[in-house]
Amino acid sequence: MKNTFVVLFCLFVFTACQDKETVIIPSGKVKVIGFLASKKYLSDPDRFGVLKILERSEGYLDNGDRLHVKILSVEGDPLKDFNDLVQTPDIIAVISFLGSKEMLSLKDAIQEAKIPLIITTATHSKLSGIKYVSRICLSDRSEANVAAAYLRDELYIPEVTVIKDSKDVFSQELSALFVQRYKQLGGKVGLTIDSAEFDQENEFISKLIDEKVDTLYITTDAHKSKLLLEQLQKAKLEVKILAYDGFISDFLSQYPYDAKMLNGIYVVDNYANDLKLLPKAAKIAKEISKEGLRIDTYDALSYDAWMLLKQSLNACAGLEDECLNAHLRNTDSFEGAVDNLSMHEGDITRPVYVNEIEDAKMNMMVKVY
Amino acid sequence: MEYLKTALFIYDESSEYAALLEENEFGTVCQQITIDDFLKAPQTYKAHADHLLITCKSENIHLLLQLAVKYDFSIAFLPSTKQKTLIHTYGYSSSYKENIEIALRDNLKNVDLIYCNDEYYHLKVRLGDTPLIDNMNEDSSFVSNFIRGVQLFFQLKLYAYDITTANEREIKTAASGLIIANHVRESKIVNALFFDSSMRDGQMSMIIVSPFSILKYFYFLISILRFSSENKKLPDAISFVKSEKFTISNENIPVMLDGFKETKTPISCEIKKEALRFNAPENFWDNNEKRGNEKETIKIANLPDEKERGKYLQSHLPLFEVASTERFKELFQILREDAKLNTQFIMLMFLSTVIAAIGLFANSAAVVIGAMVLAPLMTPIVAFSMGLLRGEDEMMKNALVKIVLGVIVALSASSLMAILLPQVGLTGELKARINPTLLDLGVAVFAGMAAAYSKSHQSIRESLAGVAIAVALVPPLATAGIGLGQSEFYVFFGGFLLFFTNLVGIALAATITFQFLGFSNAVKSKKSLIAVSLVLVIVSYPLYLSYTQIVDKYRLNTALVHNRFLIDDKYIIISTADVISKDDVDMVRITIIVRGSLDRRELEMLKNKIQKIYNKKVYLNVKTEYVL
Repeated sequence: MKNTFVVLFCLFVFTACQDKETVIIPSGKVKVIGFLASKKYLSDPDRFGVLKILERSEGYLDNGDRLHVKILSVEGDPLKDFNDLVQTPDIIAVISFLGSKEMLSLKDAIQEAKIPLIITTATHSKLSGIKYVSRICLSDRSEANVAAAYLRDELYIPEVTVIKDSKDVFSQELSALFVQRYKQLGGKVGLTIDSAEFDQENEFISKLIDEKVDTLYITTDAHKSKLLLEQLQKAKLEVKILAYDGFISDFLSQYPYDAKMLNGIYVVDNYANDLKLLPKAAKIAKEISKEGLRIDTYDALSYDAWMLLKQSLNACAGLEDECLNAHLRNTDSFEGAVDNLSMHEGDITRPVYVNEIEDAKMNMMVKVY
Repeated sequence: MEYLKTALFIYDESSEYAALLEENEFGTVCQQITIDDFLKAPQTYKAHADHLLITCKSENIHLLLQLAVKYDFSIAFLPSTKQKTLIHTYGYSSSYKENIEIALRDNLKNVDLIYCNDEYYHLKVRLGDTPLIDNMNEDSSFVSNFIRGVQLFFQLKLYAYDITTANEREIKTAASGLIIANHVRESKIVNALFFDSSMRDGQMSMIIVSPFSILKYFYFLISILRFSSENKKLPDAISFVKSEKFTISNENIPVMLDGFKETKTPISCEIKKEALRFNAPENFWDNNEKRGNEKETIKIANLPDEKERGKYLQSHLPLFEVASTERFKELFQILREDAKLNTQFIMLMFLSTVIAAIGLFANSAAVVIGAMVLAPLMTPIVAFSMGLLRGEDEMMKNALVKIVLGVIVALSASSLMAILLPQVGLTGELKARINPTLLDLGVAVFAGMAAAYSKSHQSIRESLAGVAIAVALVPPLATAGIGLGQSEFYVFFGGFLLFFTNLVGIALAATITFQFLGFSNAVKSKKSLIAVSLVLVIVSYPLYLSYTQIVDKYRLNTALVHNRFLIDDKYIIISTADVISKDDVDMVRITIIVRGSLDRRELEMLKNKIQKIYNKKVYLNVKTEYVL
């Protein structure tokens, strides 16, 4: 009798000391997640290091099915690549790292393929409301709203100059929404400079000087923004700059040695570097740092997409098709990298961060719910 | 400078000095002899030279010293770089060439030697233990000496010493150790202790180290580093005697002579004036000026006398100094009186509580502080602590009765005030006393220490008023009483918890402080101490909870002021945020800056978002400011 108690006690102590995580027995089945990324995002070879780590440490579903990542770089026609990717055996969902223009070109193909797709970087308003699409990044509308309100109501800027790229769908829409909102808030949009003017011996700089411009809202890509920053530096023109989400990541992946140019620039983003990661994400970040990498906006978005997908797959317990899509598009709460997030009709509800760049890091100024 | 014509180089191990002496540029003919050869027939070498150049270990130096005095050899040391004490004491250089130049100078002067139990010594004689002061053993490394020193430090004990000086002055005392020297330089501490000694003044200095506790000894080690020749005040643990002769008649006290030779008492040491002709650097002669007719000096005010020394001769020194009842008679008398109940105490408790209650109702910090100063509750608590430490049951009992009665008077008086005075609601002064946290316990603990410390030092007893203000006892009691009177039990519990926190914190901290100050080497009333500690642990739990609540609120506040809300495209800035809890309900009070007004639905959305951040239901109190 006494020995039985001893054994029971030891068992109790042993089980109490065990990690409470559920033990998953591998089923042997593999589910493929396609990653469709434009060349721009894959230009940095370390860009998707986080995916490999997630595949390794968060790669099993509760039923023991294994998640496998298939990355496809879009170099030519995104439609062709998308169609190729969805033909992959056992593919259950696609996570896209494509720009707004490329995503808009896939609109019909997505409906046809009936494979749930999670958008991580395309912010265009027209991408909302597509049946098989869930977007975990900000929309242009909310980004423009926050940008305009921050400049008007926090920094009390009466007049702003917009720098846009008329050939870029993203830049066009974001600039237009910003201008609209900024004017609604009583602000004045003085100049609107198209990046095409950058080539004409940079006369735009003289315009900025003549108009005594002190605040810029820029929506141009990293390359054109760099040209702008160089010209501003050359002219010793000190201006406040507010940029868009992913700006710092794009810029640093192309110009890692020019990080100093970005100091003092404000950005509206999905993420900030000084935020406290939630426990699971902190574990992943630890793994990332072991490989000499640092978590950035795109890593955080990859993480959010993965966690949403995993939670939805677990909820559907193997019944992927419609169940998975329904869960992806409408989820009350899932654990993102830094916040608990939710999905409503394919659009995410997530805080927007206004950050200031300092030494290649985004430091949070305000968090907008 | 003139140099000697001949010299004998005595060595026990091969040395670089040999080759350098062979080729010396001063014209001195040096005969090189091993110590063994020299010891066989020292007088035979006198024909060649009567100046010895010595490169030997301590024990061989000792042998040569005896022979030098006996056969009238003059000497000079040629120290190796490892012989730090020799180098520092005599001011030698680390350069062998410079030392040879000094040793061969024809500039010999006479120095005194210490003559103990029929042998000559030139450095020092140590009796008993003086850990971490001098090099325990000349031949051991600094590290092993230090380790041995630390071991001894924690095993310190006092020996009985019966010392007789040349003038037949008897000193009967207890000390951990003595050091006798006429000039020695080795450690910073030894240098400070023997700063005024000379090898040419015809006297020896004796430093008597007599700490009453390990901490006192530690303090002495620290303080001696600050000791300077300008400020000649000796540290408490040190006494000083200077005489031509010392006889220590006690038996079996360990003795170390010149850092290498071990023996035991009894021992008799006297100074042999000008016993040896010697060659040394100029700075040595500067520091050892010839003095004559020095008087015997005795500074032993810090030593326990023969009557007192008995109680110090324990197996080991206590960590804290044990204060004798005689020494703290006055304090005990005061504390015994403090513990006794009297009408003045009851009257003052009543008056201070009434004043505190009025101050709390009127929300007047000044009036509340006045009541704190007037309140007499601190004294019985301090007396209780001393009773607890010394196991004085009567003092403890009296103090406890006084505290309990004081509490009853305070609660009754303030309850009555609450009933009589019109209801004014919770003023800021009342609110400040109903949510005690661990921080209040921290204040109580340090105030308890301050109370015990100021009580035990007559010169700063007046500081108790400051302590009373720091840890207010009557205002929380008055708050509790008001809570009772108004049947607001959360006010009663909050106020009483704060009072109880202060009471327990002060009592325990004062007990420990009194022990630290040496009023007892152990807590005599262990059961009571355990009981008080247990109560402290129990009290700490709600304090911890309220502290974490405050921390949570602070975090929420700081988070909220960085938060913005976008509701129906309206950008809402939070400029101030504050959370107050009452009856488990959190009220979030915010000031928002917004461009246009918010309707009821938008405010509900704002509330929902804040609840989501806070992760609990809250009431929202919104003050709106507009940006136009």
